[in-house]
Amino acid sequence: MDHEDIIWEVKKEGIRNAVLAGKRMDGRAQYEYRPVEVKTDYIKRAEGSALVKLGKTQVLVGVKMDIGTPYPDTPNHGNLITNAEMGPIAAPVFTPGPPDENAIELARVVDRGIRESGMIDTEKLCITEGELVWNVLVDVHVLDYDGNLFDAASLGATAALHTAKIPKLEGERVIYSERKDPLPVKWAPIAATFVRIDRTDVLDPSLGEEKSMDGRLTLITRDDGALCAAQKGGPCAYKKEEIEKLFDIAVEKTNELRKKVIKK
Amino acid sequence: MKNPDIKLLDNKGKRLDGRGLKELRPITIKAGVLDRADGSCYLEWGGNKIIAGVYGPREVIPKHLADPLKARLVYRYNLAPFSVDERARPGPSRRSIEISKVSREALEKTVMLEEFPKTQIDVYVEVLEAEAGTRCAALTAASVALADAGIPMKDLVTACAAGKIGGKIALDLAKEEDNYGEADFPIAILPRTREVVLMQMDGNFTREELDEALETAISGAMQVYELQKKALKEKYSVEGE
Amino acid sequence: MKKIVIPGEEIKSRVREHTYEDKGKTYSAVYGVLIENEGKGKIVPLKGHYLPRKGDTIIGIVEDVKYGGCMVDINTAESAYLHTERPYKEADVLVAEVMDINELKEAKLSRDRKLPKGTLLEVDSVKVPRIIGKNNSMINMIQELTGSEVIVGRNGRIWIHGGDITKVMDAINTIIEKTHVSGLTEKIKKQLEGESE
Repeated sequence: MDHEDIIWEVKKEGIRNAVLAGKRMDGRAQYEYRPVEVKTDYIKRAEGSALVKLGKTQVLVGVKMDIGTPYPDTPNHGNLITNAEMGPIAAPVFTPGPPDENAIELARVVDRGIRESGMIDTEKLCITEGELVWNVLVDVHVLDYDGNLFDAASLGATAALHTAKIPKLEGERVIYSERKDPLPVKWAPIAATFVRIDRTDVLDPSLGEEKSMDGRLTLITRDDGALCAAQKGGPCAYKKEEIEKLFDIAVEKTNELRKKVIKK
Repeated sequence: MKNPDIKLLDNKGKRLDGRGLKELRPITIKAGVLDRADGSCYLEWGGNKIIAGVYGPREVIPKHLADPLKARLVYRYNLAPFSVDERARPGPSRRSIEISKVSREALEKTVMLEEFPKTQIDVYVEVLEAEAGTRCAALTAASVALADAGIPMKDLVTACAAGKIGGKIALDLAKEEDNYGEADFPIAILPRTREVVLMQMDGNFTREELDEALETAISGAMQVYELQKKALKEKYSVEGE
Repeated sequence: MKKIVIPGEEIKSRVREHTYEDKGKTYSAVYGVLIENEGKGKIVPLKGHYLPRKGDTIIGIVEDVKYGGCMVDINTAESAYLHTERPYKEADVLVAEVMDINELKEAKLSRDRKLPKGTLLEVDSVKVPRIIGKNNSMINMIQELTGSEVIVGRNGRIWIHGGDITKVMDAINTIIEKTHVSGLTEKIKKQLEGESE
């Protein structure tokens, strides 16, 4: 076992016992979020941005835009590309280099939440059908990893896209210093992640809870309560009723977050 | 690259952003902003937003790179994709690799590497938003993060750039000045002795201009040093006895 | 007199550790608190990784079991070696003493005792003296007022068993936040007895 794993092996039991006894290590209730703070418009040079603090986890999401050719099967839609960097600054075990399977999973889940919810009206991003469209590039930049990157990144992406502005277009030149119209957005999908310890599920896992978990379930829902994306991780198993129960809690808890964070 | 259409100095000698020739852009520095990193620093310098995190001394991986006599210092300067106008592809560019090298070499002069043989000290600097002078802002933040991590050093390292615009030597170039001016001159010093530990230059200097640029950049760095000191000292409150 | 010093700052009083000399003058090598008293002083670093010293009591985690002993993680870059006949397995927690250190800062451990399952905390090792207190005053008070057994390793690891674990953790967090505040022992006593500030 390597250095990090050994420490968690020792701390695991205490963390699991606390959850199973109904008393999480940081004193939170079973379905309680850590303190959330979102600062939008943080990076002026980006078209949109949001710095999210979820407990001690810190994630910065930036939105950049450029122009390009549409995909052949969607000639009148703009494109969305989502990337995530879990850089070495954010945790002792993160190494520099191309995204590993965790960073790739994070990017793809966040992407699905944005794409499947229809948050961005990509038809309005068409400049010339079949020739020129806007590309929306979402970059998730993890600064401090203390558990639950899915929820922090998803919240950051939604907040950043909701406050993003499209740069001015002069013929085929993008003028980044002038931004006019807001990005056309409709829904505000937000992720809720639960980790499972034995048969107990807790919302918004701390780092220790993530390291001690048997598995996790991330549910991304939007304003009208529709489920847009889901991702199960880890080797645990869920019963049908358990999934449905978590879905209801996800809708309730993310609604509260949405009211706080996304200004209409 | 010169552009005769852009006047970087008006007839009163004021720069595009209203600064005098020897004036710094606004700078704020905060120590200890990250939880997982052993030491950290958040710094804003003009339009630059930098976050630095330090880990170590810790195990060297891969093991065969361990030095039996001293710690291995690793410095990684990285631009966030959204930090620049045209999105930067993630991953180290040639420019980032060069900046990382000269910054590491500046720090090797001051960090007491012999105290920790067979270990590694990692300095990660992320540029979250870029606006000229990022390498100086990055190194300045890295130095505070190293102190915040408790790493023994002979002195902090403070960086600052000078340049030439409209034929005159100026302190701390902003974006257009960097793009359209006649010279760019980033340096870093050990503030106690004012010795130069990082120096790069591109452009055109006479002997006299070099002298003035060195003097300008060094005294600019000394002003920045006061802010580094302040960031570290105000982080903790002590009650005198 | 207490004040915060940073690397490269001149130290006028006689301080031997965490300093360096240049042309007859002494300078701080670390970010720390300088405590001066009549021309003599010491620097307590505000942060820093644990450097093992002979005689230190540490809490280690078994990493690798070899024939005749095991490699123990003691929260430093290099693992320590424990020569023992006791049947340890990976991830066992033990308390031991640092018996010897070589020039490469590799430690050898002795006087080991396996610890039963408990709660393990990791804090910055520079905070340990404050958590222990003068003549164990602070740690004994914490144990008394919480009913927990608490072992504090010089390497920043703390093992808690039984009693009110949450109260112990809260007390330790307060000590870490307010390390250099005077009257800390009284403050912790009040916190543990349930009085709010």
